[in-house]
Amino acid sequence: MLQIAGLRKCYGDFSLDDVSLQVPEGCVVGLVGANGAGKSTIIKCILGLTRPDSGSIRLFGEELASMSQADFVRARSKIGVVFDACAFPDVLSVREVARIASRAYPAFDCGLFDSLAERLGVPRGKRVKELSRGTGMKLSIALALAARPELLILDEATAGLDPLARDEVIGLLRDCMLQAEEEGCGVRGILMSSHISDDLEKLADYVVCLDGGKLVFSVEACQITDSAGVAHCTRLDLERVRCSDLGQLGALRVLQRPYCVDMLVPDRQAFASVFPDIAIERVGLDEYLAFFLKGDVL
Amino acid sequence: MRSVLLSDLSMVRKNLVNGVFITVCLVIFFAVIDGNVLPAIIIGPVSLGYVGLMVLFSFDEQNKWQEMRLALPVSRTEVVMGRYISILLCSLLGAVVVLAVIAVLALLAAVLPAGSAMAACLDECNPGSIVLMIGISLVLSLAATALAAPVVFRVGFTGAVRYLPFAFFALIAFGACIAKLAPGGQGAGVWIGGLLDAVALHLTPLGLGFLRCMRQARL
Repeated sequence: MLQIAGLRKCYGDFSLDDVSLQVPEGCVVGLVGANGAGKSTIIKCILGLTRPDSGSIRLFGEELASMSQADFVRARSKIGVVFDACAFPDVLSVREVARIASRAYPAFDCGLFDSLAERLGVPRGKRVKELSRGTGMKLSIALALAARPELLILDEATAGLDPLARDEVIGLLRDCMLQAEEEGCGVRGILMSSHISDDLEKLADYVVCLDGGKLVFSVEACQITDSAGVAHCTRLDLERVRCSDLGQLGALRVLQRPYCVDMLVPDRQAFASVFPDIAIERVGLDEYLAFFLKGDVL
Repeated sequence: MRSVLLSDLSMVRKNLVNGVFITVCLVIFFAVIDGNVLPAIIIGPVSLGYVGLMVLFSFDEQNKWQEMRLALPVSRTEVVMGRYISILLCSLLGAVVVLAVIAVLALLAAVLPAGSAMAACLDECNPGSIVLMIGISLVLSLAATALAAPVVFRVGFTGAVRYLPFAFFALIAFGACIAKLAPGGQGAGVWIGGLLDAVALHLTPLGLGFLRCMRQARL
């Protein structure tokens, strides 16, 4: 649905450098990274809000750079967008915002918007300025889904939502993907940038990490949650692992702690079979990121 | 385009109501001061066009609305043209308001005794002159939009309000100089020529490049 290859964009003291990722059909891709890593820059390039310096972006199989204005508008009509804040003028009411979206998106479903607004608790009579931050985000999500997009782009969309609301939104997104799989139409791909690793662990099929404008890793989510592990080693254990076959592969990353060394292993089952005396447990996305952003290669 | 116009007019609606009230007061005030409602006609389209311009561009920078607007399935051409059309509609509303004021004044003049001040205001009013003044005011409103809009689209509203006053002062000074230099009897035509020249200067690559340099120098 979306393929980005060799994307570069320079902003003076920051540059996005040779970033490649893709959103396959039927998949959710989570985009993670520290503030200023370049996540929003990638999203702006996809939406045409900024022009990349080089690289290729293919949207629904067509090269973005060679699309005419009309083709790009047609492509954008299949993309639902949610920014990190409710991006509508304060003076408009929820009904007016829905009316504007219905004029902009050819496939906008007013009935679906009403039912989503009801489900998420968005009061239709209120003005945008009277909504709390979380309710404003729910409004943005309801509008994006009611546009019946094929690709959903969420830029920190769950930030500002309470845990219950976040769970509800994640559940809603999951239902949309399942429904699209069954019916053959609807949301068939999601690109979701988020700092909330819980959300990505629950929803993402792939996780892409950026740091300082560079791609750090792009892996399947199950590789992190189901295969990888954190081994808590002493310095002696570290030397044993370093000298072993596993240590020679160069796939191990370490983080120095006050009283031990934590080691990220790609396959915890295999590691446990070779080193049964070293404590190992599954790794969460936050910890996995920390190994790549702050850790060293063994 | 419909979504652009709908969003613009929804945003500016409340401010236009206030603007209409202020316009009516100003038109009556200047008509009474001047003793002639004809020059006051210019106030209507220009003031409501100005309200539209300032309110709409200021909303663009709120809540990332400009980014959201550009992310909607609407072309850049439609976004820009829609903005010009929205401001033109505001100016036309100003024209309608002014015509309504003149109609009310004419009604009152018919009811009041002959030789009243109100009747005197309308002495020079005839359909031709009213249409001419409304036409001039619409052109002025559009000229101001044509000067301001490219700058705002380029540098944003917050940046533009730093530079546009310079542009308008330059425009006025340029026109005044030209009017002073021109031989008698050509003042109005030379003013219009000076205005067009100033607009053209700011819309050229040289003019926009100058504004970009000023922005980079953080003036």
